[in-house]
Amino acid sequence: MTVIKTIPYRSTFLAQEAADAWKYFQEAGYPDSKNENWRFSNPTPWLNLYGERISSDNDFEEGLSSYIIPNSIPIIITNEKLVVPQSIPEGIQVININAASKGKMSKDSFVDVADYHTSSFVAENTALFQNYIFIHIAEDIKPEHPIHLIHLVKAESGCRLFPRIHVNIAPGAEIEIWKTEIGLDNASHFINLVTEVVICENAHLKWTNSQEMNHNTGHISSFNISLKKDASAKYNSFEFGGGFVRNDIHTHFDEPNGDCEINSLFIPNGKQHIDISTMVHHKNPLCSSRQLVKGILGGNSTAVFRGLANVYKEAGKTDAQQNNKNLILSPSARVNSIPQLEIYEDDVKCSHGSTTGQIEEEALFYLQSRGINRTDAMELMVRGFANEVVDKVENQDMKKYIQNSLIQKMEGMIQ
Amino acid sequence: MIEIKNLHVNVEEKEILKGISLEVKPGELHVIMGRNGTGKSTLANVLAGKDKYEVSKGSITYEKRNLLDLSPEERACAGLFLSFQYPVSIPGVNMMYFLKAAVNAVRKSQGNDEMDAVDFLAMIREKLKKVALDESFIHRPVNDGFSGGEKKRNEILQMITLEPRLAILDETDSGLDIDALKIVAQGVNDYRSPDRSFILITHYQRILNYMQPDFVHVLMNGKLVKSGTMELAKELEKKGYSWIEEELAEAG
Repeated sequence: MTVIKTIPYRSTFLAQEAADAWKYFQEAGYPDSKNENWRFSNPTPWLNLYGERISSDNDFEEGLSSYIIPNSIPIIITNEKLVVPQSIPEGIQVININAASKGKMSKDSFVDVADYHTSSFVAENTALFQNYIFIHIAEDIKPEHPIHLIHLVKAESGCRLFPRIHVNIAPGAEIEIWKTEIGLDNASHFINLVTEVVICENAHLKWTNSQEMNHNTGHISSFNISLKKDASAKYNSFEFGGGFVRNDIHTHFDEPNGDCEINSLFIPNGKQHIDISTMVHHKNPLCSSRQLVKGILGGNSTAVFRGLANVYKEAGKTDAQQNNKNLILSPSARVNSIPQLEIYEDDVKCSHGSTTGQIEEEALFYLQSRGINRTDAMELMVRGFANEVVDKVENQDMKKYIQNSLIQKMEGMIQ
Repeated sequence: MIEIKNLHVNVEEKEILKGISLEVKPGELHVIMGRNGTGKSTLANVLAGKDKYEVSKGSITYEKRNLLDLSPEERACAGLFLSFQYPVSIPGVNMMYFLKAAVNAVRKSQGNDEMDAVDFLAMIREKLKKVALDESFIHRPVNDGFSGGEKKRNEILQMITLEPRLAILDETDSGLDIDALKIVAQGVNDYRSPDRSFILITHYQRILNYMQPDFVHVLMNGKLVKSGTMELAKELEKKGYSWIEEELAEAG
């Protein structure tokens, strides 16, 4: 394994944080399967494949427009860097802070949502990121169209990327954000992505993520949400691509009366490995969370769902629900599901459940008896299984995009 | 239309049907009555092509073809329809999508063009009226959360939409209140024609108050032991099944 030995130059911007995180990372090292949180997802073989961090920027000019979804505000991120958009509606600020240049922001603006003490990968990203993509939605702003972050990756084989995105949604604002993560080449990369979202008092966020990296990519993502008083978040994720994928979704109810919905659909095929790990921190009273995580597995793929709802003492009137369902299409695919609840308060309503199964023969026969051939019947049922998550995407343009990606992905998965 | 000859069927090594012979001609409505566990649903499932049913002896000829050679979907495309006793719920698959896929699969097999969304909607609206269901029905997932009556009306909806030539109705009348029963019976009566046949499997004579069967058969211990007309059904309603058992015992 080529290990990065020094952290790159930082200006005053977060220099101390980077140094501290680097120290932590050096001591903790990468996790392996001995670490309970990574028991079924060992990143070591993937980490061995990669060398130094990204050294050069590629040319992305070609065909950028083809990734744009109608009725949205497109913002392009190439590898780790923001392509500064030409026109952005009032009240929305999108900037790229180069960590090596003189920082425009004071340290106070850096809100620590992603705690690097809980993850070596977050520590590594905090130490090594070179660009801080900062999006700010001003108070009471309710843009007509969603923001669409188009994250394109194209780089020489074997390099590592450390994208860092921070979204701040000021009090009373309401915003929908989409992120499509697209691999433009077939080379192997290791992406260590950290996203932080702060949703201030009475602000509301809907986020839909579509991950479509190539199958030679290791993709470690840490998505962190902090909710203030009366705030809400709806996070939908669709994991189509990537060879080795880990998506940690951490929700923090930092003030009372927050609401969070997490919906995730992961579809590994071939040799893909996808691990969805959710953690909801009910630190305050009167908060509710609903998680729906579904997997469809084909080929020799493997997957993990690890879900935790952690209800702290004094988080009374918590309502936490968690549901995981997996559909196995191939005898050699395997999924591990670990739903967990940790409850330190009495006055709560919590539930969790997990089921894994194959396509039901009874239902298949029903469809066949109406003239639909077996393959079409299976496809109908698999799409039906997926629809429960796809239907969570309310915006019709984005829903159509996800449906198309789903159809492409399903090709050849049903036999 | 269909001719069943000396049909023997095993389920998990156990013989359930022990030599059934039945011929149904175009336009006829045959009723098969019998107690629970006599093999009524086995017969329905074998006709529709469900696996796990092993035909050990006998034959089924449907419109000059060997029915047993056909897959369930081929049977459906050839005009055979089973109304299920317990329609399975399929969460996530909505009725509209399912019905359109079924209609187009059948059309395609007959060499017709697929129906577009507009024509389909116009057609299905008419069919919905016939079984007293409103349009919101087709936006619900298949049988998911349906009441007992809705499930059975849904089966009849599918029948009149797919327009089969032979419909097998497996206890489509059971569990229905009187209003739903009338709707189901009316749906079947409206659909009757000289080139369409029915095999109606039932427990009770009740639905026959609203229909005119041509023949009534009694299925007992895997065999059709008695055949007659509407009069036989009325007798069964009055006297139950035990007198037939006694008759059989006497005949030795």
